[in-house]
Amino acid sequence: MKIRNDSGPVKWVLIGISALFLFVMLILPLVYVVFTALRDGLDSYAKAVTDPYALKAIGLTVKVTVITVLVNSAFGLFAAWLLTRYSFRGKGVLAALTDLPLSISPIIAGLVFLLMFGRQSFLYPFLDANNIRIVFAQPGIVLATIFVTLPFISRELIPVLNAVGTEEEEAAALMGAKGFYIFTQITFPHIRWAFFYGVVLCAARAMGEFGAVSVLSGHLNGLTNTMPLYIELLYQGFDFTGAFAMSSILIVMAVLILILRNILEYRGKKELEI
Amino acid sequence: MSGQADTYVELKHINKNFKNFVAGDDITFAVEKGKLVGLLGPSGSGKTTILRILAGLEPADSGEIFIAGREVSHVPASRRGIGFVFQNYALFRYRNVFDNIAFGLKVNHWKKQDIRDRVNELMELVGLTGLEDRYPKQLSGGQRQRVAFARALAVEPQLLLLDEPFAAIDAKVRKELRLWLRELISRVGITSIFVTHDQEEAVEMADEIIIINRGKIEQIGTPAEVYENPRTPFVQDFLS
Amino acid sequence: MNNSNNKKKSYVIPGFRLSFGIVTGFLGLFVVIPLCVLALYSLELSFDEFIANVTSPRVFASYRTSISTAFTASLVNAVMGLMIAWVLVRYRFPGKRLMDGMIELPFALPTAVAGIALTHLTVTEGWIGRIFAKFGVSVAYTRIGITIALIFIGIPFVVRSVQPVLEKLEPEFEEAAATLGASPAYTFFHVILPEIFPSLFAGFSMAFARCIGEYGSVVFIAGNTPYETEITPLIIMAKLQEFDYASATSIALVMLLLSFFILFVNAIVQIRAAKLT
Repeated sequence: MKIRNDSGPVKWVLIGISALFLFVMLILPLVYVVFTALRDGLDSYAKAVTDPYALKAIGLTVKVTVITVLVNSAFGLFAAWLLTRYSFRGKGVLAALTDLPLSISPIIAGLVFLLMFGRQSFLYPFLDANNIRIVFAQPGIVLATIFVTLPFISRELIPVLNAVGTEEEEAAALMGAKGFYIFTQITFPHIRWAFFYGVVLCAARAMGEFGAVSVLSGHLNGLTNTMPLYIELLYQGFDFTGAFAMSSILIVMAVLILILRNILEYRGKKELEI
Repeated sequence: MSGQADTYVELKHINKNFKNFVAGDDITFAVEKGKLVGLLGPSGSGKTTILRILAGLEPADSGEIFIAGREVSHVPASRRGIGFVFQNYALFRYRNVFDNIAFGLKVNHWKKQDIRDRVNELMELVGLTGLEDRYPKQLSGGQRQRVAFARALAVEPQLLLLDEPFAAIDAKVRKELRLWLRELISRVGITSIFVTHDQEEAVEMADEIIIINRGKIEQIGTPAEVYENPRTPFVQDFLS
Repeated sequence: MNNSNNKKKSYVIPGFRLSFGIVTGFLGLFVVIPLCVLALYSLELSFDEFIANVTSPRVFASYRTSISTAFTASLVNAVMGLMIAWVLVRYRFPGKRLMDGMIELPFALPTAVAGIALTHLTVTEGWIGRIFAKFGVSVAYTRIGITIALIFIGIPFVVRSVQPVLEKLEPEFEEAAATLGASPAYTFFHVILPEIFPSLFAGFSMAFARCIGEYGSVVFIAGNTPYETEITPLIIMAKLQEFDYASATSIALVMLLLSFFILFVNAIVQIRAAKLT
């Protein structure tokens, strides 16, 4: 469908309603958070975000995000490669399983790992004997976050890999190139923007995951509180300045992610024209 | 083992079925060393699949393939000593002309200077000298074909397979390129098989034509033979 | 055969075993086994206990709250998402790139942040709540509040699923209808809407599935009054905090079945649509 240059009242009414809707739903909350965070002055803002517990929460969030992105990048690349480069029985099932975490409530995602590794689990005696703590500890947070963001990277890669086709890789394989060499030299240049885009989305969700992490964290301040959980704690303690100050950091991250997303999407589209 | 001494490629009773489509039904033929053979048939006849089976890009359901007297059904594609020119050339879009041609040499661990010499030699052979740094998108259709051709020849294969080599080329320059390609293949002296749906192309280029329809061989012979003595109604119809 | 080269999967490209092993292993450990554990664990209850658990009045009320708010929110998003996609594809106007660029904000912004921001905006003394209060409507801590949080969460789904389809729609299509004398409204409802319906439905059901399971943005704004504004994920959370894992698991299983049902209905709609074209 082409852009129409008609300028009837319908056009401006539709644009107006859309803009108003997005302004109220998306922009206003952001403005409000920043406004509230700075209302008591920069000093209390700085104090809130440099509180030792705040710093611990930021550190944990960064740690969880990095691990999640690394694990899911590896999984996403392998899954996308497998699902677009080969045909085999059971492929549809694997594709469905890969996307499944998208339609599962984060609370349930947390719950399944609680059941697997918690006190009532058949694995618990073994874990306990070896002093491995997963539930109500950092490994549980990481596991839940990986589960929730599992399909994020493969979903970005699969359409691009399908569009590129397999001929270049076949040509390379015919000349005797090995799998890893083909992937890094021939395939990856085609998918790099989509891959980085997937990484950005995955990082965004990993940073902000609340429900799943909430089930498994145990809320030990300074130990197992990620930024969103720490914000909840501040909020429930009526420390609104603190909660909104921490939130404003996440908002800055979100805006950066959106800008990155747009750059990557633009780059990817431009290269597809080759 | 193949019977005759000068037979280079031989397919024996190759069968291949896809879900609802027969691509190869008891395909048997032999190609003599140094010959240029055309697999001719309408689209959907299975000719590309036969070429891909021969290359090792696709497994056959049953049958035997001999290249230079060796049964290669279980030999990986990269060890069959073939060069393959894909229909859309499958040039590496993110590598320049030099790297495209040098790719096979690099993965076979040639020395740097040897790679440079070989690529220069090939660039000269296909008449592209000076375009080493171009990327595929900066080339014309004909130039892309030349790069694909040089890339396929780089590792000195004994057999060259070409899938619809002119499909991606402007109709106006096709004729000219046919003669060029034919001349080049005979200069290199490599046994070659190409797939086409264009009778004129097959007649003009091939020493021998294999006509395929619905996965079955209809007739094998020189262009003159198949034209003068079409053996089946299909051949008669298809060539007229 | 000529056209199928790109679609045909090759068996020469190396790495099948390695990637197959890694992907199945990973999915097994992270998805299949955990979900089996969930199913197994709920078997510890007898059938009657299970039924009693998942149909207790308070739990039942939470289904109603969750489903009705998620459904309303997704319906609003279907209408607004379609309108936004239409505006972004069809018109040129200042700020268009900005509008297009901010659609994914709900994916980028942590849900808890959205939750507390929306709560503060919609309480009776908040920037938005004040306006509604004049009409005697309270937003925060009611089902309206939950619905608003879920609308926020669901915005990108419909827009991003309808937009590419609209972009591909040929202008001749509409022009043909116009030359036959159809009014723009008639053309939209009888020519364009049927074309984009599958993508609209896909966006709607993705948003619906996501909203039913949503927790972070809802929990602050909901007020969490039993029977009134208590959503199902919150009940599961409450059961977990009481260490009543059996109840939590059985309710989770019901939610899981509901998500599968939504996926299933969407799959049927997509398959039927694909058959028609």
